[in-house]
Amino acid sequence: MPVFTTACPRNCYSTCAMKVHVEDGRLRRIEPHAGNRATAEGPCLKGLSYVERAHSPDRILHPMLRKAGTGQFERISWDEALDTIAERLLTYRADPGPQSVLYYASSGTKGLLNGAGLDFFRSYGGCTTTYGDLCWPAGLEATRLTLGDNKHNAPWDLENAKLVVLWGKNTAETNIHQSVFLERAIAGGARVVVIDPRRTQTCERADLWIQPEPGSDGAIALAIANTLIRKGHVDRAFVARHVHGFTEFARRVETWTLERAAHIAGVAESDLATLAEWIGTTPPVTINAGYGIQRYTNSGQTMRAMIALLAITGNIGRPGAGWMFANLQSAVFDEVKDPVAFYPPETPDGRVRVSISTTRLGREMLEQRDPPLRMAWIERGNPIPQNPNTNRVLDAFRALEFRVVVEQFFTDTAREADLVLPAKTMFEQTDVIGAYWHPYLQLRQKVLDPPGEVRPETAIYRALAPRVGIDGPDLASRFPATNAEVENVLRARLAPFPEITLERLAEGPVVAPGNQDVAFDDFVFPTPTGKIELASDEAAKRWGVDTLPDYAPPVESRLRQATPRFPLVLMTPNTKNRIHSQFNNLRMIRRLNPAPVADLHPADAAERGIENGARIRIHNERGQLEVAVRLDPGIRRGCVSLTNGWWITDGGAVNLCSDDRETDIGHGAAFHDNLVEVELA
Amino acid sequence: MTQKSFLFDANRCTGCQACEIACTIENGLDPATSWRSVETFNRAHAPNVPVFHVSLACNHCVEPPCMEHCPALAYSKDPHTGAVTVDAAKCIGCKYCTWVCPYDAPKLDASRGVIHKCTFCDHRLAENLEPACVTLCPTDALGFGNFDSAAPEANHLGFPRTGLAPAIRFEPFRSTTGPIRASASEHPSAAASLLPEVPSKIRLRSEWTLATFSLIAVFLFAYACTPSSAAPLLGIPGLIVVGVGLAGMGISTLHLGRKARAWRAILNWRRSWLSREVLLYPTFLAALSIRIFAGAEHEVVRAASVGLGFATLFAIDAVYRVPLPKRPWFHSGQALVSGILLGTVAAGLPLVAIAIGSTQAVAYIARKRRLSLAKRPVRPALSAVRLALGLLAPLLAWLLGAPPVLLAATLVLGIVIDRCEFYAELEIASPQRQMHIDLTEATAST
Repeated sequence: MPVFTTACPRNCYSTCAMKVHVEDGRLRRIEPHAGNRATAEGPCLKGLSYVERAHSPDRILHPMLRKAGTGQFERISWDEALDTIAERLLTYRADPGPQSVLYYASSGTKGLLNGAGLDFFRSYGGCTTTYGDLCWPAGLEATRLTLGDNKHNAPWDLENAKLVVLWGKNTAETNIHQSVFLERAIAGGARVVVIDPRRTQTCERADLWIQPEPGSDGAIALAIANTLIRKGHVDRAFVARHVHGFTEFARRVETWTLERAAHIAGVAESDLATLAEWIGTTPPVTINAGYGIQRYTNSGQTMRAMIALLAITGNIGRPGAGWMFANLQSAVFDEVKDPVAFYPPETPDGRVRVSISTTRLGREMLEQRDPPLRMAWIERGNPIPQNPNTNRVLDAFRALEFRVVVEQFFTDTAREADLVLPAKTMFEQTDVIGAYWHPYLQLRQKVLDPPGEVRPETAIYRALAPRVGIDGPDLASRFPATNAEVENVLRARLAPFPEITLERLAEGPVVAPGNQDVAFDDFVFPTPTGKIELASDEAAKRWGVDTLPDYAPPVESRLRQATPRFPLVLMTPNTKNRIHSQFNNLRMIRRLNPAPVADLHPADAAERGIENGARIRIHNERGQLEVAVRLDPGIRRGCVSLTNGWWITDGGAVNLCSDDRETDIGHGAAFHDNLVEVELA
Repeated sequence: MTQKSFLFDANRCTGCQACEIACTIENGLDPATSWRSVETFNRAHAPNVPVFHVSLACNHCVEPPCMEHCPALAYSKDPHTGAVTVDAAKCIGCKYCTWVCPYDAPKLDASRGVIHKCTFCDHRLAENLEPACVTLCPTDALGFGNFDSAAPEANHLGFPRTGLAPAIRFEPFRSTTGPIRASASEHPSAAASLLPEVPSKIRLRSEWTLATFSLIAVFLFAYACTPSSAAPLLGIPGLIVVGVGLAGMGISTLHLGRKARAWRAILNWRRSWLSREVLLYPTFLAALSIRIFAGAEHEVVRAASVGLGFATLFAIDAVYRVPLPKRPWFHSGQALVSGILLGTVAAGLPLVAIAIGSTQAVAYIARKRRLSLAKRPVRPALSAVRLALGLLAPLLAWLLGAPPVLLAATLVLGIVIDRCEFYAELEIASPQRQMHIDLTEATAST
């Protein structure tokens, strides 16, 4: 049976390498690929489920046109589909103008060829598109402002740590492969602290578990910093050489006593004292922040305060130490790295109107003028249940005249389309992908021919281009359609790195050139001052926040209002069973996770007359959903938790309740500022 | 004979269930099926008790009970690897192996009506590969190696302790308390009530055919105990009795996944009580029929029918005794006890019957008390009816000289209730049940 090297291109820390066995045009077996040290034991359950996904009977295999006025779709030919789209595009280009077309792409699949979409629409005459990002900008920008670059130690370096603080990160579910290195660190004598309002599986590894009020992490970080300074745990030499703004920072945190932070966070002061003591006395310290804690309106400042704990104790640039948030060392192809890459351009090109915040997608789609939006093209995303304020996103999509969605399955977004184009899977077109946890570049190899009439996006654009007057000798390199064209494009992209060839990548993952296994071990911090900036003028200038990290309660939180109308925090974490809204439609996965279930503390349930297993209605002024409840003595009181990524058709689309506020910095989505009430359904 | 073994480290397992899916794929199972199952200890998040997972498939026991008790000799054990496998072409789908396996390894393939189960990935072992679940565990929590038969039996919180020499080894589990913090916001009292009920592997609703069959055997035995065929029990015509007996055989095959292979059920008469039951019952029925239809009462035939009936009821009870973790020799719902009670009544031995009926009633009350102590449902109203019908009413009927039909009817109803309750209360060993038992204990001690 032929065996191929490939890699999983999902928006996930692990970005696993794998070997796939193919026989008679079908995936038969997926096995580990030891060439990726970070994922050597093999992919997770989702990676394995590709054996079903690639050949799922539910896949969309042909262009599907909505029957006017119904929820039904009928198969049409590619020619009909492309002619229909071209006709719309030509009409809108003439009136009200090309920018009446929204191009929206999300994080569904990584790959260098993903740029074809925007390239196409720019050539078409322009379009409207989004800025910001749903996932991680507050943390990326906080890191960039403080350290100058988003990179961290290699995953395997974690075993050198003596203290690992998993701050809002659920390694066991969202980065399963990190568990291996965490376990090795523990075996080597490391202590583990988990900070999470929920008793996640990761908490079971903790020597200390702190269960703070969601959104209060900044207060904790500032108080820990103050304690470290007062107890003399500052690495004076490191600070003098590599840290900018220490004196102002020390003054800033003076009023942050552990008592004050413990009161705000609703935790035991003694636990915070233990955390401070351990950070101060157990080097090397790694703090690994999750992405959930930087989706509040105060998150950027929170993250800056958290990084400061490592800066003042000298826990940066050393083995086993450092700030783990995002490791973009494999982003060698990007001319502008994240997070700056997704800010609106300082000098717009006049063609692509970057005018909609991804966070406020629904609202700002409706608000576009001169021209207003008429049409949307969606690929690699499922924005209706996944972007904040689902009802508003739904309104905005329904207000359009024409919607094209490129999809593998009939997601909530595809079901709202007028025309659905069948999307490839990762097995049906070769591409090169990076990662954001480990430092490898990997080949996402074509091992199957697309089933039915599926065409990769580049091939769709290629066929559409002449219909809207895009022509020229470079179409094959801009919109490669054949295997050979794809390879040529990738070879050209790899040309600056002679040590990385397609042939080499086909054998296994390759560490990105210039990678530091211990990030910043050269102590080069590409900030304006060349030092770690606890005080950042750029933060103030670009985002209007204080030059120093500070703490303000999230806009919509119980930390701001003592008795809010909606008194519970809706937490919407990720689960091991999905990557956002992908995978749960597969039978292998659904067996493990058949229906949405919310977790609620028994005391909060008792106050509402809710019993274990009952159906509850989670609601606020933005929307409501109805799910089963599981009473969980391990969740913090006042919190209700439901994993995100359920589809509306499953009844569990959590963003029906979330709001479309941006984070304080970075144009991120602060959808964790989310208060609700629950009651028996 | 060499024996391979699974290794499991709960410190590494995150409960991701990739092993389950690896199994599904490798063995070409329906996507909604897996031979491996990750069981979670303390899913209810009871405080101060750890949450962990145990990933189990078949432990390919050195002394596999599935193989020992399979009536159809469908199981075999590979001499080189120790893999215990079931031959789908031989399996009759009686599901008895699912009762006797304390690890829930045999699974019913509902579409084919036969059992399928973990094979140790013997096809991979043949290629020098480890089982797929082991190869694909993303945290290296599952391992594979040679089984050390000299080592003490595998022991882990939540893992059934059986004495079957399961081929699995556990790394010592580190956490004893779950995560520690001072700022607990939970209230422990609530946790106990949140422990999920463990569904029983045997349910009256699905096994009514077996309950009916065993009650028919009890009735036949009582009929056989009648001193003379000339004055049959309650005057019931022999033809009807034989008809009921044959119906019992028919009913007992209804639960088989492969009814056409029912004959295979006798093959393991050397070791399986189920095979013995399947052999004894028709022999008993034949003896009884000879007695009924031969017309002449012959002592040997009479003794043979009573003896075979006795053996049949004993075999029936033995079938149910095997999968029980604490194998009681005596309980009130036993077919044999009920048979002897009815038999002594039929034989006209009222004082012996009273003694047996009273003993049975005491045993019944004791059983209910044990259930009550274990915080399981006891149904006191039904118990009252059971005792009234099964003991007091017949006693009263006898004292008052009521018609024998009335006496028999109340007695039989009491027995039926007891037997049905016995089915509903059967608690046979499984990983889920062991986890429940251990968790209940752990939460009580915190």
